[in-house]
Amino acid sequence: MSFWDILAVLAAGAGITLLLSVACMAAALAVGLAVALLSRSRWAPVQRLLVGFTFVFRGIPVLVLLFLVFFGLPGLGLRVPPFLSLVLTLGLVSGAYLAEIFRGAMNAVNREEVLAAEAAGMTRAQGFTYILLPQMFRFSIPGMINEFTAILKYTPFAYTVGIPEIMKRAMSLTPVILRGLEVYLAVGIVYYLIYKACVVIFSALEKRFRIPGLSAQER
Amino acid sequence: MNVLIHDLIAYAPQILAGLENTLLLAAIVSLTGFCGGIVVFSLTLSRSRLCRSITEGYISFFIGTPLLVHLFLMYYGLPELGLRISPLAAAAVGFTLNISAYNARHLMTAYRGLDRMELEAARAAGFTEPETFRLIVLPQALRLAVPALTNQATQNLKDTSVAFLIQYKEFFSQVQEVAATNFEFFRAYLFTGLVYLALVALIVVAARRLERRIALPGFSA
Repeated sequence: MSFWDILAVLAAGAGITLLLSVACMAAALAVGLAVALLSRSRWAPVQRLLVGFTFVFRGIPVLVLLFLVFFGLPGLGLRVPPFLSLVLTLGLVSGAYLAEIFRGAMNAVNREEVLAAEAAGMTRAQGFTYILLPQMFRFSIPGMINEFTAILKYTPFAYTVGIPEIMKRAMSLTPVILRGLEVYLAVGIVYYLIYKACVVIFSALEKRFRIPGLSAQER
Repeated sequence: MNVLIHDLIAYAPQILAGLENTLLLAAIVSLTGFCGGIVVFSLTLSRSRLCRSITEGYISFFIGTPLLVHLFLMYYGLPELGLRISPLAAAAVGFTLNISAYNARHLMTAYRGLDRMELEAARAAGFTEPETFRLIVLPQALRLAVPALTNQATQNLKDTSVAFLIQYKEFFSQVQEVAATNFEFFRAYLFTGLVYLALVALIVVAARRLERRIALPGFSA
């Protein structure tokens, strides 16, 4: 089996890795946005809850949370399918990190612009949707790229719950051809290519939506 | 809950040994990764273009690929080159390569926040290149990178749980072995998570102290 054959076998799992990554990114985005928006509430119990949420999901190792969801929850009579387990785990963990990024970005938006929008007759919701959110997303881009690529790098954990992505294929290949070095080097190359593609795509998006002269300012 | 507490007491030596292994690995790789990060960072400032591109390539590859791949490469790959190594050694090498790349990246980010004029002033005042690095660049870059570096340390502690996938007998694997005797997986994982949270909280508190301790008035990125 040549190195190219190994790459071909692994590449067949790349589709699942990508699908997993995209699903986890979507979940993380939803969780991150929800937490960031809730954190604007001045109600103390909500604040405390969010501080706890962030601490727990930033502090627990991804692998432990994944095992808790996939192998632990069935003990309570709750069976979570493998794919969903990983999406839930990474959605919560990366969501907690993204929420911090969004919060920082929201603070970097000029408050007076939002006030001006309201003075000009926009409702609070409009000011939020058309003035605050678009700028917040732009300021969050570097952090989001980091977090999304982190998700990609966590997806090999999926093999532990039996999802046939790149790593799982590599692991079933190694005992057959007995060349771990080449197999895992090939795995590294496949991940690196996906990583580079992600960075290029995100940077292109950032360029597409960039507004000259707009950058995050200190509060 | 009683069952778990009973088992935790009964298997305390095994679990504590696991905790010890976790802390050992986290301490080793945080230290080697810190030193490695400084070395790699210094190489990115090299005069030689070849040296710079190799270093950039190294950083880019290790940041662009999963930690698990680095560990598997060491654990399953090195024996093929005739190097038989223990899970601890494989984990230590894999983690060090991984963490050094991230720490170098943190230091490079901090370096961009430095005042260029100072470096020129140092050269004008007759400092040699190594002296400028050791006396002017590194102290400031390290200071600016403290939050990122301590974040990395927490990340390292959490990441040691991955080492159980290469048969290193760390905390997570030992709790799982206990759980396998009574099928109390949920509680076992919950317990594991709580212990990690407590350890992370300790590092965060220590990091805050360190930040306050080394803060210079008026000096920030």
